[in-house]
Amino acid sequence: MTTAAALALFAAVLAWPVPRLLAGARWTHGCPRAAIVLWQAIGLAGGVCALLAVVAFTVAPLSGSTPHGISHHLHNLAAGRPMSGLDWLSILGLVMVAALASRLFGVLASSTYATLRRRSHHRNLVDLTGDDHTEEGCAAATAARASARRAAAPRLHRHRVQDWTPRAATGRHGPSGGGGECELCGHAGLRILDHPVAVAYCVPGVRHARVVVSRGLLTTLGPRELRAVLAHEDAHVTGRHDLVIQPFIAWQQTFPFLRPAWEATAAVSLLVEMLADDVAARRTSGKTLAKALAQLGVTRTLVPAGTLGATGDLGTPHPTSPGGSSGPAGPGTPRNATSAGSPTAPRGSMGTGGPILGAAGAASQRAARGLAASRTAALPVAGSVEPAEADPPSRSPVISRIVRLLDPPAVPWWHPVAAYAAAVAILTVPALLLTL
Amino acid sequence: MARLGDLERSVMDVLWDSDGWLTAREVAARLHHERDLAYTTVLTVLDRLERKGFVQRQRAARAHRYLAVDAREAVVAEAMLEALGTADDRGSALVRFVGAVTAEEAEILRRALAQPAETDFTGAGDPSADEAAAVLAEAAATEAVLPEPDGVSSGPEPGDAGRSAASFTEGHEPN
Repeated sequence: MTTAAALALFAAVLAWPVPRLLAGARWTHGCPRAAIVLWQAIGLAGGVCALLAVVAFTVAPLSGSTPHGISHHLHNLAAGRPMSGLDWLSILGLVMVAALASRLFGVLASSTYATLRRRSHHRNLVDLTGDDHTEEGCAAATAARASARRAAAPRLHRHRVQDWTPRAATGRHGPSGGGGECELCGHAGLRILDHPVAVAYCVPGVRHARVVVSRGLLTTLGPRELRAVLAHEDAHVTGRHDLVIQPFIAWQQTFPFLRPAWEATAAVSLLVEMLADDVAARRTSGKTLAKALAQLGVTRTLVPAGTLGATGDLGTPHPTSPGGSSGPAGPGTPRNATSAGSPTAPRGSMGTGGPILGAAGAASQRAARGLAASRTAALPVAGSVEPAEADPPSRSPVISRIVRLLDPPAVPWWHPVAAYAAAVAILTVPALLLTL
Repeated sequence: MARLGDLERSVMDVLWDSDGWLTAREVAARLHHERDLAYTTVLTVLDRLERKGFVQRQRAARAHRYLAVDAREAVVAEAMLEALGTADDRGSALVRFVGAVTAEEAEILRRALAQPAETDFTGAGDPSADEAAAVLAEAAATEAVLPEPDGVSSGPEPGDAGRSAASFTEGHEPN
């Protein structure tokens, strides 16, 4: 019985305080890979401990030692006497084991299935409407453009394929052999959506992964930034980062009432982005990627609310400026920013968090404070994940990613080592507790 | 190469370009594919597209007639809605480069982008990038903002704030 209690206690610790602490920790940004492993260990050990706790509770009447009790019970099961030696309390425990296990694995299976279906549907969408970018087409388009200077009339639908050569390749180089100069060439599974809003994302998959960019992205980003973004997405695809996130989504859906589960998903999503950022920064440069992030971050709020649908992840949550001048592309922004930058900016209003006066400086101060709050208190759902729930307004992790890229944190060597060691320790605790 | 995928695209293009219902024969006739396609192949592709929900079928006198369910723009819009995370999406189906950004955060980003000589933002170790980093780091710093909000943050502001709009638009135009 003490084993069951100890396991339950450890599971509770792994389910609540530990994720809260880890979600708020900054050091994880320095070594995302080790931190992700630590998160996985916590999730796995937590689930295993919860299950083992109930199992230990069930078999407690059979034997003093839990492993012995389990084998005893298995013998009984094999002999066709599943209930022998168990009292009604144990049977209650058995029911709980069954319920917990089926919930855990059922949700994991169903959420995985739903994700795969949505992905497959989305892949259909982008395959049917998105343009390819092949090297032959790129060279042909570049050459055609150089010779005819767009005399070849507007795009025909049948020729829409291969027509989106990024401005980097068309602008400066001309028909210089295509291939080598074009940022888009050499990316398998790339799709270009004909839409003015700038987005870049990947649809993960085993053999059918897609990296999707929009026309808006190609016209927004410069060549180096585009290269960095594509490197980032390629890192997602090749690293199968979706597999890292998926169990945490399932955890969150299994226990939607547990705040730490939401925080864990948000934190792991951010760490995965940082992992891909690191890869892209190694291949290109951190500053380039940071600039791309900033440019896209700005454009994400320039999207008119109507085209986004009224889900409120952009404009609605939150007492943003009443006049809207800190909102999308306000022409009055520079003036306001200047006035706010002066030392006479209203100090008092900042502490209240109440009416923000459309002063960009003040707004960003407040945002900074919000960021600070979100880092220490670790609001759930940071970022893109879930706009729909009735949670506090989400804070995007974009800024912490940019800061990290521009000013890479110094990582003491023992940080990752300690994280890995902690992961191993957490995973061995259930085994140790079982032998109690 | 995904042959079937290419075929599906070609068939959808034909349907999107046409004004009304088309029979499979008409679709086959309008296909400008590299190789001549058997009529049955076109039927198969149309059938697949119908199962995927992109094409609707109508029983005509002797043959079936087909029509795209949604206009091409609507399909693109659907993809974009999912991509921007506003559809009913539990977050894991797509991995996005940048998630939702609040207006205040966008303002911070805009200021960082508006640093002087932002075209050299990417140069290794150049001071403007460091300045941008400083702006952002300061914005993200937890304690620095609280005790002395104005004094800390107003350093780089007055100068570049006036330029921010111009630099911001510059950043979006082809260079």
